[in-house]
Amino acid sequence: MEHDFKKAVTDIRETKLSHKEKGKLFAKLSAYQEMHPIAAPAASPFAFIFSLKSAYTFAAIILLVATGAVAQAAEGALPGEALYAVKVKVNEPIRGALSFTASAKAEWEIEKLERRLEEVERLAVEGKFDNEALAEMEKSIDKHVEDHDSWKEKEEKDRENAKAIVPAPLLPQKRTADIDEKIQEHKPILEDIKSKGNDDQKEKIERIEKKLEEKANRKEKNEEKREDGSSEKSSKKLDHKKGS
Amino acid sequence: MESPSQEFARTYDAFVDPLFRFCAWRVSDRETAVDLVQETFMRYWDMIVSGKKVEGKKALLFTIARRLVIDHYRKKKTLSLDDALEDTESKDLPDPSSFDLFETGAEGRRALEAIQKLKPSSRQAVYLRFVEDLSPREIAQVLDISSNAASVRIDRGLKELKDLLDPHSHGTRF
Repeated sequence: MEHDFKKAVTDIRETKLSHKEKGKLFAKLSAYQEMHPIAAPAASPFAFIFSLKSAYTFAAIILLVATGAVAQAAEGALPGEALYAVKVKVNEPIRGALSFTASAKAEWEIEKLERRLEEVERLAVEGKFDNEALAEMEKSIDKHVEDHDSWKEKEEKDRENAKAIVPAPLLPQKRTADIDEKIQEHKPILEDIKSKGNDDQKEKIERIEKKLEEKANRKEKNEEKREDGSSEKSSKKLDHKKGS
Repeated sequence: MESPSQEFARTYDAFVDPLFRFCAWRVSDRETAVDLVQETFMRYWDMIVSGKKVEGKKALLFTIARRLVIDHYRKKKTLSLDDALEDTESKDLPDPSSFDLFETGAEGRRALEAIQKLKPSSRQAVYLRFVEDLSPREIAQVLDISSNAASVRIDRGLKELKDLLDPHSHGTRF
């Protein structure tokens, strides 16, 4: 009889808000906190935030929350925690907007990727890495690597364009970090955490490792494509040179 | 040292789902339930800002939520204040068909349906004890009744519930 009751309670407790819903709700509460700070009350034109249907809600929330105590508190948040929504939907976009060149944007993508990997590591160590978090992480890794590659391409183009105008020695020599190196740095950490975790966490880390392998091999795949195309190109070039 | 914002976030994480479930159970509508949970936490933050020392967060949050549910029904039906406080508990409980709102397995569904069959005055006490593990003292605070009254409702209610879920005394399952 006791057994049945526990199952019933477990069942009922499956009814809950999704990560997304929780994050959305907490973002509004964060804005509310900023509007009603502990120090002094504030009359605010932002009151419309709290009506569910406002279209400008999120922009207003970002404005209010971005530099306050809540944003600060959010930096250490993990997926599944209320503050996480603030971390990735308020803090990160703001920082992203402050990078102006293609190089800076590419670097920021790398940093975001590292933030995700650190979150994976911390989650697994605490045994909290669940299915929803796994799905979010895989999606994020895809996105950050893809965006990084796009910005790197743009950076190359910008350099090419700059070469036409600026003499080579005057071009900026700054080497941007290498995303694949950074990914490699995390491999031993993930291995280590994997070895110490339970089966469920192991399985999840393996999924992440697989995803990272996939990313590490993306360049080879792209090069294979390019080689097929460029071998034609280079033979054409040679013919052209011979001709002149 | 935890900042008030961090503590608030931690409290949110700990209680947002239990509060959501409770509100959803009472109002049978997801959007309204989310609304009520939002309002609950806003009021809670107001109390923090006003410097009130908050003890017994769980009981406090459920107390706020319950009052907001009552207000919600009052606005809907324009009951008099007395009606709202007394009859709402029995008149406006959700009907079992709305439990589709609850993504719950068969056992859970059975239990919720059984709770519906209890005496109106026991339902909330049993729900809070059975589902969310509130202590009799906390339940007394939430329902605004004496500790004794709470214990009586809980004990009676749980016994009724067990009888409904398990009518054969030796626990034959069907």
